[in-house]
Amino acid sequence: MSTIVRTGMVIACLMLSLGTARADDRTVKDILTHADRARGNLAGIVWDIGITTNEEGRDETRGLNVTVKGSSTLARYTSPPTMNDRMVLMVDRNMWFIRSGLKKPVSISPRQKLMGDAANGDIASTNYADDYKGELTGSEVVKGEDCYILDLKAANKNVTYDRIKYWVAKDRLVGVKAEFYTLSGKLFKTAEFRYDNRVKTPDNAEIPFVSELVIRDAIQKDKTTTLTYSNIRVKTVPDSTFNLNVLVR
Amino acid sequence: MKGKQKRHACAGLLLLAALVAMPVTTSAEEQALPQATNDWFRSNVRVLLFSELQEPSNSSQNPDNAFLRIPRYTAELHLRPDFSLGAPMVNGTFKPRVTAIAAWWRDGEPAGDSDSEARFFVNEWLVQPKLTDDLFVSFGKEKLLWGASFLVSPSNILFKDTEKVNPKAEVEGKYMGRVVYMPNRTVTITGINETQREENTFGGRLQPIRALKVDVMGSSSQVSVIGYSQQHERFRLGSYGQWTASDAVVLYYDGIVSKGTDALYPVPDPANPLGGSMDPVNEQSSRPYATVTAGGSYTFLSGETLSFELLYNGAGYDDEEARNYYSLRQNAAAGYLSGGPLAGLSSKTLAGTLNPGMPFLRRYYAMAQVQEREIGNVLDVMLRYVRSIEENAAAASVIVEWQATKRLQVFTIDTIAIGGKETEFQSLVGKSFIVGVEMHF
Repeated sequence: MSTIVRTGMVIACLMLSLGTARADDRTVKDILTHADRARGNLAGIVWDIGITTNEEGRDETRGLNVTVKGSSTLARYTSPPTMNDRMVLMVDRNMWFIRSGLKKPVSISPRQKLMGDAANGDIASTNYADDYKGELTGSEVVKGEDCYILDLKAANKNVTYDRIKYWVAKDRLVGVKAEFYTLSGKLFKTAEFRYDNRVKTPDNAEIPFVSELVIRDAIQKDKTTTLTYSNIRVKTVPDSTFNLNVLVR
Repeated sequence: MKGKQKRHACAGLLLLAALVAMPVTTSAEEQALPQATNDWFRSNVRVLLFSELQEPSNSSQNPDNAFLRIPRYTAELHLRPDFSLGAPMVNGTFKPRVTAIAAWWRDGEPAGDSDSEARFFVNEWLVQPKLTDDLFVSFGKEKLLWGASFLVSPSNILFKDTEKVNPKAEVEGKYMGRVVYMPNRTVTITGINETQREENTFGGRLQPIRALKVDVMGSSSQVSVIGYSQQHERFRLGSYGQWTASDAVVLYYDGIVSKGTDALYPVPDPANPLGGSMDPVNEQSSRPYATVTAGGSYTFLSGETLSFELLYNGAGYDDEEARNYYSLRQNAAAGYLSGGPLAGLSSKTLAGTLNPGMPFLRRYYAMAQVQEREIGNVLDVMLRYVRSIEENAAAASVIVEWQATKRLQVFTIDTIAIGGKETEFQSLVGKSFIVGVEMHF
């Protein structure tokens, strides 16, 4: 082997090791913590979500006003009018479905369908950093953006998905694509994210914030559910917002 | 119909007509998502229009349909506006109601009759000053329903109806004051003071109920304990809770234990012309009586939720008590129909057998339910089967809700009782079919 080739190989190895070191500087937990912040895991935030499903060429829409504080979420339906007396309350993994006509909250599971392929757990803020054990499995360019590929496995039984393959943009540290798998390893839906919103955190840092989530059914590939996030306000939210004793009036 | 009721009826029907005349489709602008929401004031106006066909049972509880006079057909209009205020210093709700009901009788003694009535009332209202972020004081006429169970909520002696059997029926609120204190995110302490005196089965006035409720919230579970106090009444301790065991599984319980019981029992008495009476024989008992439901639900990946629930009704009748109960009811039915001197005593006895002070007559019950929501994003379907394990009897029901337009929901609630005439589920109505529409404005 010529000296030039040997030198080239050494330089290539050095460059590769430097690249790996950069990824290693950020632990998987760090990457997920940053990505979670851009999907609602802040101290107090209110946003509007529009959910549109397209199934067999027919569109259906729902509107929700969502208040989030850490792992607590209150989603009030705002449209259509037949549903605007409904709420979904999530406090950690405890969930209730509430209708103002019915004063008794109905206990529900995170898996119960919200609309289309969106489960109740999909409108809550994500806390992948605590809910999943992650492993960095490689890099890939997604829509022109260099991304970490993370293999996330559920850290406990209470999460919405057993396994997630998650692409996180290296520069922006936001999740841009995800594949969701069942316990048996079967792919059942995929998701793509956009971050056209920006919010200021309480420490005055401006961060990108999710603006669109498109969920695709893995079997019926033409079936999509689109969540559009708008009117995002970072604000102080009291704990009583998520207390059934005060909420159900 | 009285004059006052007629005026209420006219006002109500005019209002209803105006609302019904409003377009039930929405403009493109209204469909644009998401809708802007007002953070401090919310309103929701619902109009329900439905008719019910029911087949009254000719059981000993309702001989010849003369005791309960259950109509074969009813048509009902309900105007249900809900107003809610969430200002910085105070929360409030105001829920006035207008109902107009017409009924036609085709069974038994009242066959051929018809009647109608209208009513205006305030079902709930509440004023709740916000003293601090963690302390709320409120007073008003309100409903307090809790727990995950479907059949009954034993831990709640303030309200016995769960509103889950018929989701279109509303329980009327009760006057009460409440103090809610949240010392931290996981613990909530609520003091409840009922300020009205309710009636028992025989028209006697009960002392108001006071309760202290403590809720503890875990990361995937919640437990509540409720202690009750009622002057001259027994010790009662209730508890309910739920556990999100996994992404798809929710388990729950709801129960109460009391020293003695107010329940009425059939007491054979040869000296009584009916052969016995309904009496609270265990009123002074020091024995603990427990009523507990326990159940769970599993949600499949495809969206259906399957639920099971078991009920142990500790104060319920054993086989001998059940035999005495039906025997006494038959004697009272005969006495009631005779119209003679026994009619008064028979009427009182039938009032006791109708409402013996327990949610169910016997001890063991099971419920199975399948529910799927958002089928094609427009249809909710629920099938429910409740079985009395000790009696060869059951009730099967189906509830279907279809979002026909953005403002109009079409629904049907149908129930069929399975078993002989002298069984619990066949005591009042054999079949019931409700079809209607619910409009939102």
